[in-house]
Order: sequence, then C-alpha cells, then structure tokens
Amino acid sequence: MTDQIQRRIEQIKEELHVDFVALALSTINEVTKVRVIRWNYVAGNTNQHYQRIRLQVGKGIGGIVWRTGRAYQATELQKQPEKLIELPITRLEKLETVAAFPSLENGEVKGVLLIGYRQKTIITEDFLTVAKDKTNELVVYL
Amino acid sequence: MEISIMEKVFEETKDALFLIDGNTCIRQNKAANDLASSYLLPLEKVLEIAKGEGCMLHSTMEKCLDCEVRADWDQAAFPLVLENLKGGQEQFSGSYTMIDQRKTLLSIRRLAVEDRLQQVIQNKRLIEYVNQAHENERRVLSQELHDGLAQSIYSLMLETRQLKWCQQTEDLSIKLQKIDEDFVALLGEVKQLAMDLRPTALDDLGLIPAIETLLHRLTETTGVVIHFIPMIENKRFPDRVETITYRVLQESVMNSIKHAIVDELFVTLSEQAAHLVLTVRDHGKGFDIQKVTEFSQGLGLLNMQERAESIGGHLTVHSEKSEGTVVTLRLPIQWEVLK
Repeated sequence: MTDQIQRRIEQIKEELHVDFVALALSTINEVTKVRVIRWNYVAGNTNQHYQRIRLQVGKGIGGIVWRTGRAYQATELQKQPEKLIELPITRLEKLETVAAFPSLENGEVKGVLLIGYRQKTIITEDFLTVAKDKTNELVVYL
Repeated sequence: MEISIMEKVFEETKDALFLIDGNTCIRQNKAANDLASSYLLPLEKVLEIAKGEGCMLHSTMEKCLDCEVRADWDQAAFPLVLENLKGGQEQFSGSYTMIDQRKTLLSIRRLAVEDRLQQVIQNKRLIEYVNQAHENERRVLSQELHDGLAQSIYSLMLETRQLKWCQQTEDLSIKLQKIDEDFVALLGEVKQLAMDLRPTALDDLGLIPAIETLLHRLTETTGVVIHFIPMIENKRFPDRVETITYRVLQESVMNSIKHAIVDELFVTLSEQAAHLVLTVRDHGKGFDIQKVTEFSQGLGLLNMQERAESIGGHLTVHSEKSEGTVVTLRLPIQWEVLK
C-alpha cells in the first residue's frame, strides 16, 4: 500500500513534468483523537526537512486546501519572505511556483497533493484539469 | 572699557572661538580650551575644511574639485565631525569669518539639539510602528476567529443537525465518531490560538518550559530545527524579564527564519554577573545593520532594543555577510531592586 502510493507519486512527477510532488495525509491518534496532518509522501525533494512540518488546517498551502476543498496556487514565492513563512515547504524546497489540489471522497478531503516548480512557471487551465484528475484518482489508495 | 567688554564676550561665549593669524591660532577662549581638552582637534585640518580647501569627504582641493558636498558649501555654517577622547564621533557646526587681510575667526558649536530632534523623529516612527503592529495582530486574530473557529463551529453545527435524518445505527455511530474528532480539532484550535497570544506556560511554569514549547511549535510550522541550550536550571525571574526575553526570542527567531535562509538555529540562555543572557545565532547570509537602520527599516530591531533598555538591559546585534547573525539580549535579573 505504502509503496504503491510512493510509486504513484513518483509517476505523477514524471507525467506532469514538475520538480516536486508531495502528498499530505491525516492520521488520527486512537486515544487522544488528535488529528495530525503531515507531508507523508514526496518526490523530487532535496532534503528530509519536510518531515518536521506539521500542517495546520486553515494555514499554509495544505491547510487552506484541506479546509476549503478547493485548489490553491501561488507564484514568485522566493521574493516574498512573508509567504515563505506561511508556506514552509516552499522555503525548504526552494519552490518558485506551486499548486495544490484536494483529493475528495464524498465531499470530504482525504489528502492534499502539492506540485511545485523551482523556476517561475505559468500554470495553464489544461494543466490544472489534468492535475486535479490525477489527484482524485489517488483516493483509491487513501 | 569698551574693549574689555568685547574681551569678555570673546572669553565667555559658549561657542569655541579661535582667532587665527595666517595658519596659527593666536588666541582661543575658555570654551575652545574645553573643546581642545576633550576632543581631538586637528586645527590645520579644520582650517582646511573651513577655507573650503577640502571637505568632509576629501582632504585636499585637488581630490575634491566639484563634489556634492562642496557644491553647497557655506562658510557661515559647515558641518564638522570631531572625535572625542573615547573614540566616539560627535557632530559640530563650524563657521569661519574673515576679520581682516590676515586674521580670521573660527567658531565651533556642538549640535546636540539637532541630535535630539532626530531622536524625537525616531521615537515618533517607533510609536507608529508599534501601533501598526498592534493593528496587524488584531487583524490576524479577527481573521483567525472568523475564518478558522467560526467555520469549524459552523460545520460542526451542520453535522449535528444532520444526525436527525440518520436512520441506521451504524451510520449514526460513524457520524458521531466524526463529530467527536472535529470537536477535538476545534478544541485544539482554540487552545493553540490562546497559546499563540500568550502561553500559559510562561506564567505557570517559567521561562524555559515556555521557550521549549514555543520552539517546538516553530519547528513544526516552519521546518527549521532550533537547538535550545539552557545553561541554567528552570527558575522564576521577574515578570517583565521573562516576558521581554520570551518576546525578543520570538522575534529574533522569526527574523532569522524569514531572512537568513537557514535550516538550523541555536538559542542559548545563561546567567552572567546578575544578568540573564539570551543569544539567538544563525549561520545564514547575514546583513548590513547600518544599511537596514538607514533605510528606515529595522524598526523591529529598534523596538526590541527599547524594550530591553526599559528595564536597564540591552540588546546587541552582530551580523556579518555570509557568516550569520547573533542577537544577544542582556537583562538585569534584579531590575526591581535597582529601580
């Protein structure tokens, strides 16, 4: 299961010709019922620092997509120190342009897929459609 | 009679007066003696500047030619920087008057008043900055309440309402489970918000646990590893010492993360000669402090400095290009006794 997702993430990186892909998933502690969201799967990463980030619902790329259930994108990030703080994964992986999509099941967010470029890139509508479809296909693994 | 009054005026005037014949001083008044005893006064150099043979930037006319300083030169009032015996530099204003063919009068006056004016302007900007920061904080808080908590409560409300349409018990238990989880998350959000405003650990447990909690949270939200090395055991300090240390730490760490391009930070807390000493060190890209303060930025730094000084402590920032930055805060532990 785990390997399957990892392989799929790496495939998506090749298929979409992007520099970085990450998938955020939530786990719930059985005892405390506390929900923890982290970037569990990545491809194209330059370091392991992403493991330290704990996403908060409503904050940052993953958090905003998680709460709203809608796609999110941002560009020219490296010029904006304030943004880099808000979106820590872009600072750690030096991403210039990012987009993120929810993986939905019955309207509920199961995961968030992030794709990123290290060069400034214009994201087209066509690309968004393809990326969204691929994200939704991930639901079967989640 | 007439002459002796003029003598007295020359002698008692608070401006330092030098009567010059050719290039040598033939007479100087009391104020001039005082000036010469507490500042390094290279008279020849000053005369060169006064005569317009050089300027503040260039010592001789050939080099100076028509530089900008020279363009608006006025012998009635020219700026002068003198070094005091401790090596500090202070601003003076000089004027140079021809009396006859050979004799001239050089007068030098301190510019303390204008310095103070600068300080008043600086203070006003600082007040504005602090007000702005308060306003921003409120905006963030309001947004958090509206977009965060209100949304969560709203969706919980809907989930609860839907329960009554639920027919099967199996369905019901799944939905109740979900509501339970959402309540836990909501509770977490409220607690987190309260903690971000002011951690209870700071009031209840003391500085070290509060710092540990803050740094743990910063690592989770930014991905930067922060090594905290406390060289004292946990004990209580006066309220303001703890608060200022905590806030300076918070701001310095955020500054490093925002500007230094680092994945690692070092924080130490120690006690030296009745002072609590906090250092925040990064090995990032560093910056030019002079430039930052000149271009009216760096009010955050100034604000931290003012806060430290308000209880008799002080804050120093040492930064070198591509070497990194160290912020050091020293606060007197027994400041209440001192007061």
